[in-house]
Amino acid sequence: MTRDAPSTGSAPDGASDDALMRAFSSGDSGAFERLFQRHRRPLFTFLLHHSGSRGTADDLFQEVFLRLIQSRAQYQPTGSFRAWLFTIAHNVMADDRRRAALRTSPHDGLAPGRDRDGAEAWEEALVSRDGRGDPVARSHAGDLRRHIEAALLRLPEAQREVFLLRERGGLDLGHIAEVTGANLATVKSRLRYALAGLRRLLSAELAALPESSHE
Amino acid sequence: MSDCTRLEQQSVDYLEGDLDPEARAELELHLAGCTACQDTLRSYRAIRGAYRTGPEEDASPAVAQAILAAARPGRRLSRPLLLVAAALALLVALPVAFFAVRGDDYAITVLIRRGDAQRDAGELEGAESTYREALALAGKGERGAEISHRLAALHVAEREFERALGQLDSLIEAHPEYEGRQALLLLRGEALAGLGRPAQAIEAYQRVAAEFPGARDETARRVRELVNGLSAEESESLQALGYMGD
Repeated sequence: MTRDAPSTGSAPDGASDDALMRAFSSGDSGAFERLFQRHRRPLFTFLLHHSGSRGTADDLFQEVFLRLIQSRAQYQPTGSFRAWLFTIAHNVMADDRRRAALRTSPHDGLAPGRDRDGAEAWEEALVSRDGRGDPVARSHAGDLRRHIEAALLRLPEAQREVFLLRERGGLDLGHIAEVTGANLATVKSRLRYALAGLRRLLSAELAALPESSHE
Repeated sequence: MSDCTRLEQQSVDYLEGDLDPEARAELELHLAGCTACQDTLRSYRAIRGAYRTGPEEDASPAVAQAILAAARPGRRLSRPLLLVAAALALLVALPVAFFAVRGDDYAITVLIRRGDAQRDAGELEGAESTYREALALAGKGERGAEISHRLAALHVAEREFERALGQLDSLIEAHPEYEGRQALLLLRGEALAGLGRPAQAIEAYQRVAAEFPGARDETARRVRELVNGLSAEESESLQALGYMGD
């Protein structure tokens, strides 16, 4: 558990996430602003890399925080505010998928149309971003990272979510199980399949890495 | 189960440091002599390591600002989004108690905006479902009327005239001061025409012209279109009833 969110007492002002959320529930909107500043980037990055679309990520991000604001009176300290926040995100994404499914013709099959479009758009964005960069300054790890971001969209959604909750959300596997409603063994399997899938998709890029960047 | 399969299955526990010492030692013994498994773990570490070095992204400033505004009931926005401004404009006209549920009001605005986008993209079913979500939050006040108006227009577009008419009649009766009243009355005429009740449709348009003199050209145009689409028999019967004097 090396990258867990600072859910208790680690902020410079000393207030834990739970304390800030309780203060917000009692009407202190300044407490919300501090919580928002702490968690906005990890959450947005998670949503962006999950959806592959900045517009979709903006919409989902907005909805997650609106739901948080609406449910502030019902907030119960759970020990991990961040896990609670990502649970809201998980539910918002599930609702969004249901809406998208209603709008999708049965002839489109099971393919998540937006994900597929998102993968293509994301890859285009990566190409243009690569083109803008300074080739000398680009590290192998940086190149690999950009390929990973694109390859993530080709993973099954449940695997992608677990990978991102771990690596971007900074949640430990137990909290990921709570967020996704899956048991711990399933979470571990999904993470393993995600890593194996990425490895398969990125075999050429991984083979090109110098020995030293593997560790 | 081969040692390689076992390593593959325990790879996450190993990388997370969750293996007990005995299992870990056993796995590392295998790892020392298996280049394929070394390569697997090296790849997994490289993927995680490279991905974690990526920069964090951020939401658009407008979205962030709108969220912060939604959490601050009573405070002014320095650079409000258009949609938040619209919500605020409505709030000015509503009781002070409404400020307590400003978060809901903002959510309603977001849902309406989403429903409009779905409607404009031709996703009528999705739009209806989104408007209904908004309506559930809004209740029966002015915002509810605004949403019901959109639903009625959607029903007319879907040629569900009976549903549209029921909704329009309730709306017109319950909200005599509603600012979109003229549009509601015109829609009612369309719904009646769609139901094959031309006489009532013409009456509906006459009512619009009487209440809103500025809409006379529009209502005359609609009546002409309606009449042009009628059979000779229907025209005759309407003439006999005095609906087609000019």
